Formats: sequence, structure tokens, C-alpha cells
Amino acid sequence: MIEARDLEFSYNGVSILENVDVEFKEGKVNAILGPNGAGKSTLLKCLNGILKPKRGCVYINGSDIRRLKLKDIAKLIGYVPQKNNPVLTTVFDYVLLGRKPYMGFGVGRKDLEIVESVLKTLGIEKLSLKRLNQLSGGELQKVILARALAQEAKILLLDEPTNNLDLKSQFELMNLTRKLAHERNITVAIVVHDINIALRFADEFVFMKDGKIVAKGDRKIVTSEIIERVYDVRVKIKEISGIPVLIYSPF
Amino acid sequence: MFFNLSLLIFLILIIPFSLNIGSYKLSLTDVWNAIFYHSGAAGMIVWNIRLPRILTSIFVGAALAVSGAIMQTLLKNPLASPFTMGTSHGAMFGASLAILLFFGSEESSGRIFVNDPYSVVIFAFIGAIAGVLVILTLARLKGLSPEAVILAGVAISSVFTAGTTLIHYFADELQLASMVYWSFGDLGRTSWKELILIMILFIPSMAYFVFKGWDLNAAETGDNTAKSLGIEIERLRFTGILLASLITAVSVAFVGIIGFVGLICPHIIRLMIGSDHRFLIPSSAILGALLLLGSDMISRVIVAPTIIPVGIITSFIGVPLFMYLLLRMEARK
Repeated sequence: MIEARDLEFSYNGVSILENVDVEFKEGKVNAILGPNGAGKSTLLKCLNGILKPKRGCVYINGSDIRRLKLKDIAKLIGYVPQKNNPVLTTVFDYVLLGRKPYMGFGVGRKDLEIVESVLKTLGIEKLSLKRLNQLSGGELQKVILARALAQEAKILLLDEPTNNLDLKSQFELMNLTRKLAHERNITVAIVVHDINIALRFADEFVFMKDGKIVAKGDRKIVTSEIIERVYDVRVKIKEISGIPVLIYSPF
Repeated sequence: MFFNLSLLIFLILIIPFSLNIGSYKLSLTDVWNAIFYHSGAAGMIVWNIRLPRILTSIFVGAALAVSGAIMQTLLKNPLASPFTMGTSHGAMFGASLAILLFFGSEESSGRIFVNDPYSVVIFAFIGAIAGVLVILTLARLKGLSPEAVILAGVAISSVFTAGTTLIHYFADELQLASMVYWSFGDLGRTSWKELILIMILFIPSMAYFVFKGWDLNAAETGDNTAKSLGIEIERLRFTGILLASLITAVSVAFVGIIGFVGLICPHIIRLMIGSDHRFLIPSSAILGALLLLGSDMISRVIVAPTIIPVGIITSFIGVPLFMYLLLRMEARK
């Protein structure tokens, strides 16, 4: 479990996170929802120590991350950022980077085995010798997820991994994420924009607006009132085959 | 790995031929005897003139190419080179200042000599490293982004250029000629002493870069990813740029400005084998050495006995090679 207590972050005097209290549970897909600029990405970066909060603290299984080095955090948290620089390496070498927290100069047999098994888990072992610039958007996102998985961390932070993907790739990626959380008891915190995708695949929901947590809880908290409060749009929520679906209805 | 090894073997094979060419005619057997038996005039020429020159080409070429690769990765910019931080303009300013202050030069047999080469070297080195230290201190204190660091480098370069122009304005003709001559870049200015100094800085820096190969690979994926993989990216960027600038500064101070090697060699290697730094760094070093040594050989024979400034040759062979590779790789996409 990873939790943030009373987190506060500001950038050049502008407050981005205020009094953020949130916890992400093991074995669950935790969706972080909210409009652009709500502080979702900043929250993820504070959770894994990329950004240092001005106040408050992050705990992983009860221990304060300020006492940990980046390298130790990297063994506990895998992270997929929103932007990824294109690099001229093969898929295998790129995923191998996920073993960095465990490696010195040389690559061990265990590292290679883990990379192979991660590629297999995600069904992309055939891509392993392709270069990153030869992949489709969906393949690339899976490769980036594979790199984070190779860290063998119990916590995964995913920042809009489904952006710019076609429908099938979005579903594939979300299915994989859900399987990882449920079968391997991994804590997944995922920023998504598509609320229907979140409703279909996530277990827990956190709504953010203007750097604050507006609501958190299971599917029941996703109501048309909350959506209107957070996004300032009017919607209806209908159930289809037992799954709530959000419909835009301004009138 | 295979690629690295073949480049290295090629470099080693070319050395005897490089020892063998020059105004004083030597056969390969003479070179052999000179190296292993120190015999006669040939021994003196090989040991005191050609060998230091060749090793200078190798180490300076390697230093420039490696620092180019490091700058491109750590500053996230394909146009970055060893001179991005204003090293060459600073060195030019320092050298010009030294020539103006401690003149002089004299004309004899159509060549210009600087009487007090050490003041020039020291001033050039200080000039080369001054801008880097200013930028890195600012970056450290104010947390400058890589883009801001590059812009600061451009700004510092302009200040140095303005300073150099001012010095040129006050210099007399002979001083001016020596300043221009200094800027051409000349691999014949070093003896064993200077060479050892270059090696003392280059070898540990090179070892550091190779050792940090994985960290550099992670750095290339972006700062956030690198941090999430446990890499202290700010520290890596600071140390990497400092070392790269240091080996560039010492090279430039001794041999003058040799452009292009540092910009293009890493790109050629990236195009050929990709950007895994564990291989990119050593391969760039060897290619840089090869390019500079080859260019130096050509510069010594093309209009012998006059030696053409080597920087001209590096551009003339390097650019077509680079363009060819670039077009071929683009076509393959």
C-alpha cells in the first residue's frame, strides 16, 4: 500500500497540491480522475520521489520514503510517465533498463530471465529485437509498461498510459493492468481521462480538482453530481450489463 | 561488440602507416627499427615528433567524440557538441588575450611562432573552462533545464566572441596572425608532456562514462523515467558535463579548435549501432580517434611539405560520410 499524508506541493509559488490525503490499496486498480491541471501527474511524481513535496509525506507500507534513496524507491515503485523520449534501442534493451535499480555494470542471468518473462506476460516477446521507432503506439505503450514491470515493483504508477491509443489497444492495456493488479497483488495507481474506461476496469476511484481530493472510494462514488462538480459538465450514468456507463447529457 | 573490435583493429593497423608518412621519408622497416631500436635520425623523428603527434590525434579525437556523445545525451539535443558550453570560444578568447599580453610572435621561414606557448595554453584552458563553470554553477543553484543550459552556452559563446573581436581590434598584424593561426588547430603542438596531461584527464573520464553506460541509457529516456529507475539525474548531468568539458578544454588548449569531430562521430555511431551507451561511448571514442588520425595523415601529405590545418580535412571527409549515412538511414525508415 502507498499513501500520501497531508501532501502539499507548489511550483514557483503556485500551489499545485493542497492537503492531499490519499491511499492506494494492494491488488486494486486505483483510477485517478480529474480535469487537466488538477495535479494528477504531480501527485504521481510526489509518490515516487521524483518531486519533493513542500509538506506532508508519502509512506510505502508504513515507511517514510524520505528515508529511502531513489534507487531503493525504484525497487518498490514502477513508473510510466506521460511523455517518453524516443530512444534508438531495441525493445529488449529498453525493457532491460527496468533492471537498472538492481544492476551494477554487468547484466546478470536473472535480469535477462526477468525481461524475457515480462515480455511474455505482455505478449510482446516477438517484438524484442525491433527498435522502438519501428513500433505502433499500442506496442510502444506495452513496451514502456514492460520496462516498469521489469523493476519487479509491488506498486505501479501509470500516467495516462492509454492516451493516443486505438480502442483495442486501450482495452488490451487496461485488461493487462487489471490482471496484474488482481493476480499479482500489485497496487496500481493510474491516471485516466476516459471515465468509462475507468468505470470498466478500475476498482477504486479518486477525483481531483485544483490540487485537492474531491472524492475517493469505490464505484458507488461515481455519480453525476461528482462528475458535474469536478468537470463542470452534466452527465447521466446508466447501467449496461451491470457496468455503469457515463453519457453526456447537457439538457 | 564486434563492431567496436573491428573499429579498434582498424585504428591499430593504421598507426604504422601514419608513422611512416611525412616530409622525412621513412619506410615501414625504418619505422619498425625506430620504434624498437631507437635508431638514428629516424628514431628521433618517430619518437619525438610523429609518435606524440599520432597519439595526440588519437586521444584528442577520442576526447572530442566522447564529450560530444555525452553532451548530446545529457543536454537532450542532437546539435550539442563538445563546444556547446562555449568551450571553443572561451579558449579562443583566452589564447588571443595571452598572445596580446605576452606577445610575441615572429615571422621566420613563412611560419608564425608564439614565443611563450605556455601562457597561451594556460589562458586558453582557463577561457575554455570559465564559461562551463559559470553555467554549471547557475544550473546547480537555480536548477536550469537542459534547454536553458544550451541557451546559456550560446550566450556565453557570444560574450567570448565579442571579447575576442575586441582583442583582435587592438592587436597588431603579427599578433592577429598568430591568433588566427592558433585557432586553426594544430596537432603538432604537443610533446610527450602535454600528451600525458591529456591522457591523465581523458582516461579516468572515459572510464567514468563507460561505467555509467546504463545510467546514460536511462537518462536518454527522459529525466522522470531516469529518476524512477533510481538515477540521480541532476548529479549525473553535472558530473558528466563537467568531465566532458574538462577533456575538451584541455584538448583545445593544447591543439586549438578542431570542430566537427565531436558533433558528428557520435551520430555516425548512433546511426550504425544505435544508442546503447555501453557501446556508443567506446565506439565514438575509436571513431573520433580514427577520423582525426586519418584527417591528420591526409593533411600531412595532400600538399606536402605544407601541413593543412586538420580541422579542414575532418570536415571535408566527415561531412560526406555523415550525409551518406544519414540519407541511407532515412531511406530505410
